Amino acid sequence: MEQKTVVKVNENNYETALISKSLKQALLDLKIISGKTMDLNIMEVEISEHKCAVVSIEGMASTSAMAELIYRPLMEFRVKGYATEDDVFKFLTKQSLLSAERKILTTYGEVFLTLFSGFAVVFIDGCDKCVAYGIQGFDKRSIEEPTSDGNLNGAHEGFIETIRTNISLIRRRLKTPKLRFDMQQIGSDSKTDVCVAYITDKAPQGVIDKVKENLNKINLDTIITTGYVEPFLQGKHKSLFSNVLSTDRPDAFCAKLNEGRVGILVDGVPLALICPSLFIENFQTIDDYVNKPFYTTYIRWIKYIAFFLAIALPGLCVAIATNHPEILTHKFLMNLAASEEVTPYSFFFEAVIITIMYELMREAGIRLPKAIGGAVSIVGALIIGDAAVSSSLVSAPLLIVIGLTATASFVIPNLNPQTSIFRMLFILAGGFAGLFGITLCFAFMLINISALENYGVPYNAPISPFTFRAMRDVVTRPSFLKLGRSKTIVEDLNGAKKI
Amino acid sequence: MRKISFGQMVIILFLSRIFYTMTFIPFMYSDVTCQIIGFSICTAIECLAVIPMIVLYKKHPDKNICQVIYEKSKLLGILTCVVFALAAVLVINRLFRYFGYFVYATFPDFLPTWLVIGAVAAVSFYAAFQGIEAIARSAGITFAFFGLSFIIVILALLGKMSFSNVIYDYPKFDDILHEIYYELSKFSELLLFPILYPYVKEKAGKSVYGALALKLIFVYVITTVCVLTLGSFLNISKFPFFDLGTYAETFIIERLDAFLLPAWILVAFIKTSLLLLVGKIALSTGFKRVKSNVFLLVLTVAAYAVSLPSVLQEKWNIDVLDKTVITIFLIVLGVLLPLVFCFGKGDENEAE
Amino acid sequence: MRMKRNRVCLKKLLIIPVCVLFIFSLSSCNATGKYEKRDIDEKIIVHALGIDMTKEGKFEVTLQMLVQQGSGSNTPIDPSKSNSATVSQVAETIPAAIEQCETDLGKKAFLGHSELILLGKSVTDLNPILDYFINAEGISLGTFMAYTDITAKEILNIKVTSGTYSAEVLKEIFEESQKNGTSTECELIRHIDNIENTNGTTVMPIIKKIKNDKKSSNEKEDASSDIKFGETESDKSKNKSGNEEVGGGSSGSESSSQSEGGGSGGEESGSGGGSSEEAEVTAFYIDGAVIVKDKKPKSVMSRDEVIGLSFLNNGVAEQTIDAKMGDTLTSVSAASVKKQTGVSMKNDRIVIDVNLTIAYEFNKTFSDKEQKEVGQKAAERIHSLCQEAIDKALKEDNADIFEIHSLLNHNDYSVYEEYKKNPEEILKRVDINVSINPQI
Repeated sequence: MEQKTVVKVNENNYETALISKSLKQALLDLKIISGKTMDLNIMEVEISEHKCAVVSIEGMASTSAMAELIYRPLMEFRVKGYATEDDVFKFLTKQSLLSAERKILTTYGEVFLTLFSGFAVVFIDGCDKCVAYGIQGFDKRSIEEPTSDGNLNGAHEGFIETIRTNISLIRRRLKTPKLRFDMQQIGSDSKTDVCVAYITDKAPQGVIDKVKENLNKINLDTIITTGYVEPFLQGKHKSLFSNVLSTDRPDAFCAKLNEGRVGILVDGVPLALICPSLFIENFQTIDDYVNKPFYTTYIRWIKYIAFFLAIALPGLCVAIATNHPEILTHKFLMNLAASEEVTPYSFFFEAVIITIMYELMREAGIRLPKAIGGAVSIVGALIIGDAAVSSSLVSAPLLIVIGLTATASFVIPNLNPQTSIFRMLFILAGGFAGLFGITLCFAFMLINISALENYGVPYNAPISPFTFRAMRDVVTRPSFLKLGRSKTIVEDLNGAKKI
Repeated sequence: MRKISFGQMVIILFLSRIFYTMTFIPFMYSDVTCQIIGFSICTAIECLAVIPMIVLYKKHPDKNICQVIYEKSKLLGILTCVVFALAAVLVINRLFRYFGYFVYATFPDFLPTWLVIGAVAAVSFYAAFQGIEAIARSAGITFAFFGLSFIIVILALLGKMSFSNVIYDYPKFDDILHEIYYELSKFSELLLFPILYPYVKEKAGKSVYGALALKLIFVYVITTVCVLTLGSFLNISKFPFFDLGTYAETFIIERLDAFLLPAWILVAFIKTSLLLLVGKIALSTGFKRVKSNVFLLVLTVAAYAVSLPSVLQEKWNIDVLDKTVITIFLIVLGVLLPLVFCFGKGDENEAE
Repeated sequence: MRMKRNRVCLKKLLIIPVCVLFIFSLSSCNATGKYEKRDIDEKIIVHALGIDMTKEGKFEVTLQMLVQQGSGSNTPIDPSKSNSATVSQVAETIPAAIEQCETDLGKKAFLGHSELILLGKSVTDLNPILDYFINAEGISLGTFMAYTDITAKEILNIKVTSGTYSAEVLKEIFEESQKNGTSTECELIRHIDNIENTNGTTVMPIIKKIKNDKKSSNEKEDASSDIKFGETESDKSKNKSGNEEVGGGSSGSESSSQSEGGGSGGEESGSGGGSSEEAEVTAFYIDGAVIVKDKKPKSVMSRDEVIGLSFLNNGVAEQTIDAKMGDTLTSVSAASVKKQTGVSMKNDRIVIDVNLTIAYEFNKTFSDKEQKEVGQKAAERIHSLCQEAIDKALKEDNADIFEIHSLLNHNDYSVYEEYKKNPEEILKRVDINVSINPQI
């Protein structure tokens, strides 16, 4: 007992320190730990003539809820004569329902964690426990339409920054008790809520355990975005591609959980991660399962072509024009040669410059405010589209190629970083070594993708290793009449191995 | 340990063999009739030659031949490992020379040949570094790409085939023998299978026959297409398969020869990486203390260094090495050693 | 610890693919000579090659190439203008002549898109030409190879009034003529194939130019009979009257180049200029074929003989055949449907029976009886055409242009073996019996 009074609580040892029985000391400890931060609100009150304090963080707890759910009931509490600390504690914990969420806290660590999560904590003089009420009232974004993964016919709800709202969005779509959410705090300073979601009888236990194990390995101070978590989920293989899919759509998230994947939600980020994910999933959208199968099949093939164009078209054009002109039809070649006749640089160099200019414009368009972003597009169109050709700095066919490539890359937004890098690599390889260079680059890409495997599932499944049943949803889009009967879950895609 | 499927093993073995068909269908050595007969007889011999390997696999499904021998005699085991690695280097050396010749003969102004094979070696090293699974998955996609290119070429040539182009000669015994001998020297399954079978999930033994059957079908088809399309031009063609591409024309692509080039390079790269992997596995079985990837690097550098003088001197064919020496290596490693060590007690678990 | 360091070292090896690209870039940036990368506009895109022989036995090579004519047009290539020009050089060998052309223009010739190889009348030996084209880099096996009754240079210099460039027009003419049987197959690979199989025999169509103001269509028909292949350019010019200017001199160092389509041919070097005669020429036509034997031009087949040959080789898609019914001349459209052959031996003669099924399409309405009668007449006409071809090629020239080697190979191998040893002797013993099976 003596020892406890001797060791002073400070910001370094507060986590496991027990709450002081003396209200005065407890409040002092809070101030010391928080460094008298201005947003710590302490309201000292007397409940039935017993000293208490209500502590909250400014802006995190709802003031109206606090007045309505905490202050008023507390003020109305009366016992005959002088109330002891046990009377007050009993009232707070057993005789009243002040909010939907109530926790009994014993350490300062728990106190601060709940305070920073928007709880109001009631301290009672003479009691070494305090009671926290969930009356979160911080401002949050309302549910809006997803921005990065737009669709026409599916739901228009997207994830928001608040993890609990996101959980409710998922739970609303999967009303099965087999859907589990395992919450944990990650980040030694940020204590960010990270939630692992899965359906027990669909997700392989090995994958669930591995995901949790990987999350426990995170030793970062803060978790601000999903990008902080992703590398730990990906494993050690250094690949240019990512086998962790991110989505801002609860419906897509639920569909993936239903296929036996494990989802990860991070508080403060309007995105959810799904693992393991497949390369081919970058081409699938929720609209695919709304439209008629024949149309979806057609659009899927368009997307595959778009990926090929986005990655390889400029490189192939450079390779063919520089090293293999015999491939082109005669008139095409004539037009190309005639267009190149007046330009000052080689076709290869032009392709490099135009590609860099395109990336420049794209990046400027994303970062700038929307109003100015439009102006960037106009400037880009004017400079590249018209002036460059009319002043014979760039040949028109090349401009068409880069324009087509840019449009194609917008079709698969998930793979945009990879397409940008490989596009440039292919141009360089094509310019220097023709189709030989392109093929070696492709071989490198192929191996890079093929070596990627996580949680026992190869990234390029079900193409290689080939899984016929799953390939139906790659080559075509089977009707739900068929999909319902024989659905492919993640365990079917693991090739020769057992997860 | 079991990492790749039956289908992937079939594709791996098929692609490793088909590389030679793409670079050399030896019409310049003998006529089509001899080639077909020799090829068919050789395939029958190959079917018999793989039996010891399959028996060995059934007895020791989880151990490659080097491990089996190493457990019986450490010295002999180490020697076998070294010979396997040496054979892998020799086969890669032949592959590099043939591939170099192909680039030299078809795209002479393209890149220096030493750089071409250097690049193939580097990418193959990367593939072997990533392991058998990555190679097997890449091989699956390469196979699809190769098949597609081949079908497109055949479709483009359909209108140009004529039965009157077929001129056959009565086969000569010497030519057929030569053909069998030549074909046998390309039987690299004998090198790959005894090392790679522990990685196959199921039916590893049948995968060799699967690959042989696939090869047989492919060679018959390609020979038929070549004869029906090119006629007697075959007698002077260096790369008949490639010339099919030169002659093929579609409304989108004027000529398909350069279109076939990627398929060619991918097959060469898959084969090289497999051989490097085999060398690496063999050496790391014999010398367990050294990190296996060190062997990989050594093998890559060795294969490239050995090929470099021939490539720089434009000496593409070394008959004694390509035929006699490699055939001896293949028969010793793939037939005789499994034959000797397939007797005796096997491991407990059954493979198939 | 050591293992960890090893792993780190090995991971660094992943940089190798990047290094390879770097090597590419280094090597390419410094590449000179053989491996120097040339952009597409730094290459001469050759549409057609013409080969003539000079009196001294040298090769005069004419390259017809792309010259941009886009001024005044929305597109880089103006289809209303001729977009081609030619350059010629004389040298001991074909590659040397091409190299001189390259030197003249300061660009590298790109033969991968050559659609036509035209041999001038003066070409007497195909051996060096075929040797070159079999091994030439980039030449497509599907390139057409044909003869002309004048010099190849003259034909390639002609300005066309339709199409983007004249080689395109020439190729289309060949393709159309092959369909109606007035031209034989003329792809390079087919010539090589025939020559390989028959000890140097093949048949090449002859392309001629039409002169609007000088010749009527009837005159064209007879033109082939006057031609004597093997004449050199100088011999021919002696016989010629008028002011025809012929490119290519007798001296090896002399060069001559001509440009078409206004002033944009100014990049070419060399002396010489456009001929005034070209303006009169509007089109080309195929007339007859040259029988090549022992890789040398032996004789000329007339147009009718070529049609007969095409019917015999089952290669006619549509040919109008005249049939006389009483006093009226009518015509039917005939097409090869099926060819059945049989080989038999009769009294030391090798008899090849060819049964041709020919489909007819009538141009006007006939009764059934009339149809039969017209069909019969047309069959007789086709039979006579075939017979003419046989008489000319087999009887006169003893040349195997009827796939006799293939028939013998497939039907009677012992005779084929003899054929391989002594084709002349075997061909003398061959009789071809043609029967026509009309399909109305």
